[in-house]
Amino acid sequence: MGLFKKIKKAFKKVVKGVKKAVKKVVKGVKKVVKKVSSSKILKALAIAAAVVVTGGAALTAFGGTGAVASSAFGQWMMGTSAKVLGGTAFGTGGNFLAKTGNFLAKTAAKPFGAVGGALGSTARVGANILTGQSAFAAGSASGAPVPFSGAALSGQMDTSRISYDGTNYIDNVTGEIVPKEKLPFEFTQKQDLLNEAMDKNLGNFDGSGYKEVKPGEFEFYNAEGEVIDTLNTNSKRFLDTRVGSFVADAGTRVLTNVATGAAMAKLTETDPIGAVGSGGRQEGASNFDPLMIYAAANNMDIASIYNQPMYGNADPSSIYGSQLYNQNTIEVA
Amino acid sequence: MGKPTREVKPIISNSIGEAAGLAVLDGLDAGFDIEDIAPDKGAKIRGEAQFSQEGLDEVTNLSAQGAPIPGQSLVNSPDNKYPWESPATHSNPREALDNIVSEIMQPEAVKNIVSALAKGGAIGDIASAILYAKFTEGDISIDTMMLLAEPVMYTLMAIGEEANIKYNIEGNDLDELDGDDLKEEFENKLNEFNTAVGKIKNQTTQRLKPKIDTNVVPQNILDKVKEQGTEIRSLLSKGEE
Repeated sequence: MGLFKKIKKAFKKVVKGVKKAVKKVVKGVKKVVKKVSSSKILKALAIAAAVVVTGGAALTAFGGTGAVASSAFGQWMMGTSAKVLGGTAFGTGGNFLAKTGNFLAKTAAKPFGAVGGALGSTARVGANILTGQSAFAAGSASGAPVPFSGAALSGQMDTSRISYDGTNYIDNVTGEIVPKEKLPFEFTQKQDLLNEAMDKNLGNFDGSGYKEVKPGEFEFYNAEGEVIDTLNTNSKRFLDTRVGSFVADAGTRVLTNVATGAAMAKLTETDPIGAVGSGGRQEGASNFDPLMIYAAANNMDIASIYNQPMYGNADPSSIYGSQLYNQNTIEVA
Repeated sequence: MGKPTREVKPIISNSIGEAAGLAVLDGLDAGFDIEDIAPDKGAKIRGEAQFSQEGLDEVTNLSAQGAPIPGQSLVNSPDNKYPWESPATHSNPREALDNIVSEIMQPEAVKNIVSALAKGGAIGDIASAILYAKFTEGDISIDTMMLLAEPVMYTLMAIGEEANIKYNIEGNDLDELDGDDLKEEFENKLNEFNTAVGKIKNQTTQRLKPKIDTNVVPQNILDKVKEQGTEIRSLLSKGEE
């Protein structure tokens, strides 16, 4: 048997397996929800699965112009997505995962989050065409791009119509307040950093003494017109990110402790054999990998995280995985 | 319409179907109605597979073109590798899934998928065609292809549901789930019938049970009968000595 025939055969087996699994899940749900037809459960499953696969974007995608997004369940599920996008799915404690979650989930899930509003009309258009309706019989959604516009096809939310009024993000077209969680992370990040810098320099200036000297680059002035602080929101260096600064802090602490230990071992040197291996060394990059830490904390084999894609709103590997080979690396000063 | 009484619970599973099932159950548990999750959009378009002479001719023509000679690929120049003979573009399944799903969600692709589903194309066949094409283009490896079968199938199913199509999952199984429902309904009715028949049987047996008047037969004889049971001895059996 040739390779391709083998592939075909194996794929058929997989499809059969998936179908069996679908039936099993339908049966499982049916045991809980009585007197509901299997096809209804299948529909619910397919919708929920699409949300899980796309990290929540599918609901906005399908529902942005349809009934699901405006439904209570849609909003609830979008809450899930926003939670994941907001990184709160990792917990709000001051632990490492909470911190990494806040950064990684936002950036890693960004493609899905951003695609959300845009995919919108696609399935609807297909359905409309088949059912003889107008192809673009669509409703409006906050920041949803015009179907098939550049923004829609590139999978981006149309943020040009969103403005910040000092407290909330407002959709200039509809006048609605857009929850921050629904906006792309990179869009709100700039404002967040600016707010942070303003808070920091509040004692030195009245809040109006700043200027965007270059796109994304700000200078803050005091009453005398002297530059007291600068901010570059374009910076993409790992150490400039929140997780980067945390890693840098933690790394510095670890290195300091290790170095102190090594110095103490040298000072109180009694048994040369016992001191071997206690010398200070630079921590390898792998020791800072959040997934490695997650796996170690959960007594999990790191290899299985990569080999076995997991699904759900609480799986850091699935959110983190999309950035696995694109992640920022720690710069060596 | 149901109102959620709580927030979503964390869900994690290595199977997308199971994760979806848990999400649905979580939604129902939080106070939603199945109608909130899967709203009814009226009668579905039946994606029934129909015989097409044109399609059959095309398949016949393709298979008549013959297959590669065994070992043919081995005589190719190593510089002219097939795309799948080099390392795949996406080695991370998650990254590959992002790529494939975003391609599937393109308007043209969705139109084609909806059209195929409405004409009777099966989810499994469309998913295998997409993934197989991705493999032959060198975008994903065989292993990734197998891993992505389930999420891609579910994505296609979601498109089908959104387009309000009654689609085939594998082959021509349009009414299989409904068939299962009917079978289940039949079994339930059969169980009900069996229970009813059992009840009648019990009641009849109770009624037919012989009632002996203790005033006519002395109690000691009745006790003896009770002791010996209803054993009927053969006429040829050895009697008590």
